[in-house]
Amino acid sequence: MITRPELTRWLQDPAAQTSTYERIEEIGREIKGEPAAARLSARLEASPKEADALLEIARQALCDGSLVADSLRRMTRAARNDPFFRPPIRNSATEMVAGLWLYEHRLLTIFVAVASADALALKRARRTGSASITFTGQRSVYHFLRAGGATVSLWATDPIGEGFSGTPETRCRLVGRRSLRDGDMIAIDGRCEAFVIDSTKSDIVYCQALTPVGAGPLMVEFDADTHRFVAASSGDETSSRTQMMLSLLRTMERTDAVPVFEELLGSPHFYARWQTLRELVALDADAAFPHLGRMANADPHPEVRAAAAAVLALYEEEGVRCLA
Amino acid sequence: MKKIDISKLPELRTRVGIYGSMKHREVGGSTCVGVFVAIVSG
Repeated sequence: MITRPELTRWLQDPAAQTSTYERIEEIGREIKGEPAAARLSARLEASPKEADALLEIARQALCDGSLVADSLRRMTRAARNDPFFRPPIRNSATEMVAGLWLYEHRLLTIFVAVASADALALKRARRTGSASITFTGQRSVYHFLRAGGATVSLWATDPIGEGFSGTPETRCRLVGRRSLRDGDMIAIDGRCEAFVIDSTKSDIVYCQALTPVGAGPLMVEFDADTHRFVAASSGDETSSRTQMMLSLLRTMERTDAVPVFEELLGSPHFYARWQTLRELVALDADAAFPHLGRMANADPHPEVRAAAAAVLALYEEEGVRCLA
Repeated sequence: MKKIDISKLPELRTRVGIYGSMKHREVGGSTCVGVFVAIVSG
């Protein structure tokens, strides 16, 4: 590594390093204790735990602007005084976006970020293969501090809920285009709304407030050209990890874990219920049998009912059970 | 104990990938500029 003189001096000076780290911790405490953050937390706790109410509180906090401005002011001042200062909060960087998780609460997260116009143009120019329009399932409010002269297209689909089925007829549709102006706020219900930045003249600086409350179970992709359903993925990280662990337990032939499988058959997510049942059938067909019958008759999702009925028929073919 | 090979068991018509997976590439939409938080199950 080739170091600049400033870094060389800092690396050789334990007291300077300690000072930097202490300053980072101090700013972290100050940001957590911002009066605006405390006010926001109190309002969230007192609010009905519904997405609309929580996002309205977020919208007002973003309009007020003091939480974002005060926190950024503290960090920029510290960085100006010490080039080795680093933000004491989580950051997120992709090829297109660099941002900070400015406020994190179990009911609401505020992310402040810069989206690079150059990176967006480069991504478009280098794209090979199909592109998608994505409905994230998340409930968000975007506040565009610097809109960059961007134009966005707005898309809609039928609400994506626990009864979702992705068929060739499932599509999304364009519902509008708008130019963004500094200060604009857009609420996006990712269960049925999405946006795409069609063009931008310069970088976009924005805040995104999002709540996990009322989120949809899936993230769904539609083809950008045909607008047809392409794929769905779980919106629930815990559920995905659980499914992988069930596969591992089945591979390890851990029949002592059958009660765990049975408990997870009560998942609110149709895809998790079915995957759990598949794993259970493969682990212990006898233990799975009563659950198969119940799900073939009474699961709320039609695809789960049909799949369970097909497996019951397979029991007979395989000689596992005679259903006659 | 009886078992059925998992490869013989049907998948749902609507196949659902694991959290964060995508089939196509999105350009400039909600997943490019947005962040994600875990949803509350149950």
